[in-house]
Amino acid sequence: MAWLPVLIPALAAVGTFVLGEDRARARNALNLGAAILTAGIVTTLAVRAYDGTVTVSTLPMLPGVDLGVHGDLTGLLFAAVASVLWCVTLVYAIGYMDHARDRARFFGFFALCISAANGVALATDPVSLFLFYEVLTLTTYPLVVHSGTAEARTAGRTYLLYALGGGTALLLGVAWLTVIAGQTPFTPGGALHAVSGHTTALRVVFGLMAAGFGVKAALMPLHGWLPGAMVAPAPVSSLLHAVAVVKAGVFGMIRLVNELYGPELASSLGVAQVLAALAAVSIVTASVIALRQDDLKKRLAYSTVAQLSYITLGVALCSPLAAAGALAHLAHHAFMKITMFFTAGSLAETLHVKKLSEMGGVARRMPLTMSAFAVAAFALAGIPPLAGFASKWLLGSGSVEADAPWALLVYVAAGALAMGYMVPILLASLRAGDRGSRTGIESDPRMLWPIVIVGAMSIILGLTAGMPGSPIHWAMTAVAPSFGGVTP
Amino acid sequence: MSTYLIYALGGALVFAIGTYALLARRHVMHKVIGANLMGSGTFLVLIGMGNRTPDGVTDPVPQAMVLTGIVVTVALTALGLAIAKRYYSVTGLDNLDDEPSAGDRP
Amino acid sequence: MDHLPALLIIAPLAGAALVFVTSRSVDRAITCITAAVITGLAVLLVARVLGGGALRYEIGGWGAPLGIDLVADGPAALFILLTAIVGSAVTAYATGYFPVTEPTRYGHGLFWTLWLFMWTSLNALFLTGDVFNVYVCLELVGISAVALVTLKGDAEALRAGGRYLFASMLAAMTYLLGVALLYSAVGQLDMEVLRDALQQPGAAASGAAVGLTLMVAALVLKTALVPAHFWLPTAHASAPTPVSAALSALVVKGSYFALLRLMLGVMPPGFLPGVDVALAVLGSIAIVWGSVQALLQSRIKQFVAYSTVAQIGYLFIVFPLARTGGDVLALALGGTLLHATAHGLAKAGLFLGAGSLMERFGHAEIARMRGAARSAPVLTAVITLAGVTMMGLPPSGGFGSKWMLISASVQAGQWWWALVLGLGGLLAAAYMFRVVAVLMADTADDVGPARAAVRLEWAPLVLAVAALFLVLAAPLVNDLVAISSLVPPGVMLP
Repeated sequence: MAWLPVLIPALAAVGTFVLGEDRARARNALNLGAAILTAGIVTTLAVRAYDGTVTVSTLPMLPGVDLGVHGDLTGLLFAAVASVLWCVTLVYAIGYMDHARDRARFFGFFALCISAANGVALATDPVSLFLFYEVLTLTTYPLVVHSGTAEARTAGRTYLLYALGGGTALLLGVAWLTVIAGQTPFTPGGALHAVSGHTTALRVVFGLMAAGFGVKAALMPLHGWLPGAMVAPAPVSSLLHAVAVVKAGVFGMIRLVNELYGPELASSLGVAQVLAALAAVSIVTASVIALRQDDLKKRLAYSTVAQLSYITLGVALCSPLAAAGALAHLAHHAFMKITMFFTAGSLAETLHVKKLSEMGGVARRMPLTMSAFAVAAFALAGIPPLAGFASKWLLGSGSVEADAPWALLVYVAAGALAMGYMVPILLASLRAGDRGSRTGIESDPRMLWPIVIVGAMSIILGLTAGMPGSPIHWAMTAVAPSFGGVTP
Repeated sequence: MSTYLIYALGGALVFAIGTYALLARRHVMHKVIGANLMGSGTFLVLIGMGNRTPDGVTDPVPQAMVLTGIVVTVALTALGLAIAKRYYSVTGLDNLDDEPSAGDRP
Repeated sequence: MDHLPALLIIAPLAGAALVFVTSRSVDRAITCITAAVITGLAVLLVARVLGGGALRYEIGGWGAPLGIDLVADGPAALFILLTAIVGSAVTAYATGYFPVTEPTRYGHGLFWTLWLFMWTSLNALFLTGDVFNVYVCLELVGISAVALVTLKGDAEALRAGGRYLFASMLAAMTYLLGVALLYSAVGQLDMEVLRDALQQPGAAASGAAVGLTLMVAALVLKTALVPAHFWLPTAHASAPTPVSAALSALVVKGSYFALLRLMLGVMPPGFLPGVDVALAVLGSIAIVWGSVQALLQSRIKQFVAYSTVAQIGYLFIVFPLARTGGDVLALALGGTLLHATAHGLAKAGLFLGAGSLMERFGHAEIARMRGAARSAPVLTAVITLAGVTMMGLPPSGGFGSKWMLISASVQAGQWWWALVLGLGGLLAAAYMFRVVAVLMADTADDVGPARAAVRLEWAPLVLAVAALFLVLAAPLVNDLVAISSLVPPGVMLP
């Protein structure tokens, strides 16, 4: 059963390739059906996991190493985010790509990416995670170079350089670890107690693995691929670079610190502190760079870099509240950021607007879209009672709990900077400009309604924070076992 | 000097000459003859070791190896000569080092 | 059942003879039937070895040391199965590739006979248990391979074939001299008997070491390890496409297998001091050099051939690791054989796909194959998927082998090989994606996928996909490795 979230999107992909370019309706139906089914299965697994039943499923692979997936709460949160947003993004993408070429290829690889992301989410141990992580790199490449232009190919090349380089580091780390410790399944609280004596080796392995995850998690200075990858079509930027790929990176960090090394070992080795410092620098630097971007997607890209480092910092603080906040932010940020990328895509596709300087009159032209964007922007900056506020509150409290008040300062400063780079976007859209004609309001409904839905989620998730089933509650339940069962 | 040593050293010398011819000479025929010389040198070594058994009865295995070796060498030589002849009629070249002007077909 | 080893040699030989004497119209049919028969026998052999251990077959009832024995142990069965699978795919492809109406264009329809003959020699080479028989089989493979390379009959093919032949002759004669010297020192030719004889004290001081060094050198030349690789790129690139696939996927594995038997199964560890490390160092250089050269090629088959030069390097990393013995040896050997299998499948797929692309576009220039993703989607998929194996990315067999070799290196304390392996993966990504990016580039034309012969597209796709998921076959490979004379008995696999 635990294999289904990985298998169903993969089968949908095969079906999409076989159906070919022309049978659009069948293809769309197949993908949407698969997406809904996957989301449903993930939910079922999550309900079971809440009750304490974790389904595990393995396949023998290499000597001493099995390929395995398991439905635990942490992994299922990521899988749920990916699956639910797949449904939404599909509707958006069908609208966005209406006049594009090579749609079969696009949707096929899209589904494969979801399959790989779910694999990363549900993997039982570092080796299985590595396997799906690398497959994710491969399946995202065709999407980055989709348009086939020279710019896209350059972005693709850069992406591969970073991702495969990171992948090699990750491989060396995981292989070394497996030699020292055998196959270590992710266990809340850490799985390396038996080998905690090999301090130097463990430090180097942590560094290698953190570097490997850090590339996809856009931890500075490994973030270089992300702004360039914005050349991909908006559905790609939205789902993959706001949700699947980058979240796979931070998710890896979460598994690494909480369930492989365990918070105790990570801080006693000193590696968690180094990671925290890097993340903090990343947050501030990226936020500052975002302030100066005129291209809308690039601004959002740097914002993503900063927000991802919120998560990395939260994990590296090794305290229950911060860890819960990090995991919850993984979900919240996905919804908030995807709203914004969808908006950027609508602006580009319908109005041919890509830069802030061109955005005059947009608010009048697309009021619903920009309202959703505004909601997401405020949520991102941490305004209560929206979603971003809830996760940031946890992160802040966690900083205090971990005796790291400097981290709290970083979060507060980042929040201010976020307002700094978000508000100008809103102001630009409210300016008078030639986009304000009254004819043909808004964009294609298939692009509009997903934006409204995910925008509304920013409100809903904020209001329902703490209720069972909400990411906050989910995250707190999920990380509790790693910290000795203390539910924050 | 034992008989075997004479054969062995002689064989090694012929082998060395053959190797030189195969590697250093440009003309195809020289290469082919060089390869044959290498073979002949080895055969000399092999034949020489036939009578080194303690009870004086000749060891048949080296002789079997020589016969097989001769057969294989003949086959290789035949193929080499056929290629050389065909190559000459197609390009007029007598060595494989110079570039012929050739097209490109899948 | 017990005659399986002999049957595996007789079947293709009978097929070759039959094709030669019958009329041209039944060539394809006979070859296809023979391929199916051989595949069936190969599967039976693997099952037999897994169930009942290694098989020793005395030809004609004459046993070693005077007679010649065939040895069907785990690795041999694995390679025979690989040859059968790749061979069947190549046969299927060839039926579509060689036009029935143009027999004189490709050597008067002699492809089928020569191809089956090469298959015979390959099977014989994988099964041989006698060092002199290795010489005979190597030459049989060499003759058929050279003839197949020159099949087109044009200047380029003849020149490539000629150079291949001379390299072959150099290797053959050197090998024969080595056998002669070995025999002079030890008086034995059977591999198992030799293994015991060489473990006697004083064996190293005799001329055996000189003989074995010559044999190793000859096999290295045959396997095209850098710097002895010079003959391979032209030979593999100038041959007709099905031949290129068979050469890169199978023929180089033949001489490699003989080398493996010699280094690990006959010689005790450390018998030729420094040679094992030297081989691995040359292998590392091959990985880098071959990848760089592949990156620089403008024509697609030359590109694939240099990829072979690079991938061959991976096969030599096992030798210094073998010294450590036990678990490390089993792991390294398993990784190496998995790599050989995965590479065989993927490289054959890559060559067949590249050849089909050349047919489709009418030329061999990579840079002018833009937009193939749209006009030839299946072929682009073949190139990309085969590339995944070359890069060693999951879930391919390339990844599985890389993992096992890295683990073995770390466990043996020789972690530098792990770095080489990592670097090799990145270099392979560089040269593969250079080509894939061109294929996926945008073109102005609105060309939809053209209808091409199914066999020319799906045969390579099957191979590439098989290699793509081959990590799941790793348990099978490891089981077969355990049943071999290369792993000391009683070694527990992890």
